[in-house]
Amino acid sequence: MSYEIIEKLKQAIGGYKEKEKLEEIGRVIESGDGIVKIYGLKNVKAQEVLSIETKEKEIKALALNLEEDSVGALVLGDHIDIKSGDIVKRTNKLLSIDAGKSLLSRVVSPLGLPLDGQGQIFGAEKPTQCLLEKDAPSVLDREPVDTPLHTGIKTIDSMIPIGRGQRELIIGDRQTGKTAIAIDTIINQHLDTYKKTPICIYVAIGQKESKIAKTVELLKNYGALEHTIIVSAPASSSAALWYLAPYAGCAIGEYFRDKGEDAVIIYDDLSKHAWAYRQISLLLRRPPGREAYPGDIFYLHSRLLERAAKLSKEKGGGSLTALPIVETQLGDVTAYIPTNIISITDGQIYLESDLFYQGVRPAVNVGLSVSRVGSKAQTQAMKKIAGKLRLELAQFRELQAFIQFASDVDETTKKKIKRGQIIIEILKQQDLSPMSFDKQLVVLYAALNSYFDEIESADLPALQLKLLETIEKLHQEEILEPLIKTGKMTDEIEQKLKTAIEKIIAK
Amino acid sequence: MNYSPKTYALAFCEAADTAKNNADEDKCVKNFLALIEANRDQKKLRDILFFVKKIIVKKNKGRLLLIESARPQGTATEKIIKSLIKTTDIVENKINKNLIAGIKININDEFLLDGSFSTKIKKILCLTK
Repeated sequence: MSYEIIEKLKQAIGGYKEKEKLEEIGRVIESGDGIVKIYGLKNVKAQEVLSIETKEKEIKALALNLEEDSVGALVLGDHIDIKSGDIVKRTNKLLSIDAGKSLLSRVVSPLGLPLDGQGQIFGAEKPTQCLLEKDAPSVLDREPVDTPLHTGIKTIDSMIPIGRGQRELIIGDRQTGKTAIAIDTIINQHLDTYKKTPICIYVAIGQKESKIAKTVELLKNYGALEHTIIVSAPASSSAALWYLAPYAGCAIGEYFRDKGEDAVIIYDDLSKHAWAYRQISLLLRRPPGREAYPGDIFYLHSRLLERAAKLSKEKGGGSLTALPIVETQLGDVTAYIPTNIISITDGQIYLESDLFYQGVRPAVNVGLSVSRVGSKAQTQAMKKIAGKLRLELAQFRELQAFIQFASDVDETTKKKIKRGQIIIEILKQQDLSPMSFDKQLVVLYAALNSYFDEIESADLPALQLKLLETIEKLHQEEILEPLIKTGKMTDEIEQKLKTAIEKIIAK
Repeated sequence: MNYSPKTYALAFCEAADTAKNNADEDKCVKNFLALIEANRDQKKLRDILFFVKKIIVKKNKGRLLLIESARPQGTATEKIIKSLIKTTDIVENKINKNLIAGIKININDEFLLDGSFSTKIKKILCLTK
């Protein structure tokens, strides 16, 4: 202990004013599994933070169930120390988290405590207290989603465009690359210079701590941690923290949204969040419904995802894009939680195990994936180039059954099958290698304008690389830069691109 | 039986209300304890007693006061406290050395006036964090 503490104590005593006031109290009558039942506290509010005075220390709790003469609360600390008869005091504060720019590149718990061992979060900056539960912006405060949020994944940016302020669900079985899409999206944000870089918030719910550490390291290595905040409720933490993590992340996201900035939040994943809420609800003795989930499980997720919005110019023009992740069991999208979240979000990216094992990665099923915001969230250039991509893929899928009889089909069908295979090949992408939107345009332009028709599928990756390298070296200023700046494919740029591609293919 | 301590207390008070004399009251208490035994709810007795006290005090428009102090109160403090107490109040004094100094008044187990030195130290230490 340093001598500084003496000075601090002196200052605190000097500035301390005695203010004894009548405090409302209650008593713990039941405690177990992170839930306490408290007698008294007649005037307590829902979501109010309570302070339980145990012999050793004070433990915080969150009031959830307000009953006739008792309160059901969720313990936000170590519940082992709580005993029946302990005094509980009101704090008159609703649950909130400290938010500010200092949170960037940090790993925090849902209560705002640092988890990365880098000391206190807020130094000189004064943090803003953001409520975990807050009403979503009203209709008048919003604006239609019209600015693209590039993920760096060709399949998504070309066919399932995501806009800033949208809610797009990433759904699929385990081990199909759901988190990989989210991580790629975060990494791509600082590579994408089309619009200002959004702040990314990654909420890890119930994940192994080793996995979270790996993700942090990965983001650090790719230089993406500087614009990212990680809210972590690891597998070893209590259900209370699992339940609060998405709301804490959302509150941080809202802080940036309300400051007029763009933010992206990834909830990884909401299935585990629903499990945690089911556990808490059952322990609080709320009546169970379908699959033992409580009656308000839909509202739990709808009120969270409704907070993602694109605000009007009067409100600062900021946006919060939500990318919730949901894990399905054996591809069953008709289960309770997946259907709930599908109906709340503005579209879904559906990942399939079969595609994944066939080597189509990202394993996006384009037929079942959709973005309800549509081409409004695409640049003019992408709209122009990739407009017919979905149709061509759909036609290919219809003809796919004939692949094994390839020698017996007519020339036109053969050509269509070949083009489909090329497109599938072109859309393949390794994880952790997001492609900037201008480069995607070049590759898709070449593929959809028959420049790759005569190329063997095996040679496509090498050719794609060569094409991009050459254009980046020789045509950066005349092709790529105008595309990044304006997002438009003018006739002039198109002509230059055509000439460049023809030259490269001819070699 | 799954009756809450509050339900038992309400039932007892209602029954006790009908007692016309001391003998009736004794009978009421005896019967009540027999019922508790039959229901095997003896562990709830302490809570039941607390609720009975609370109901009776409320009925008489009084308060249930628990006054905690670190050491026996001096005459001056005692005078001040006495001036604040009504005749209908039930007062219990308790010595709690953990308070270090000062006083803590618990009213009906619903409100707390905490003027103890231990709480003040805790608050000061919170400020320095």
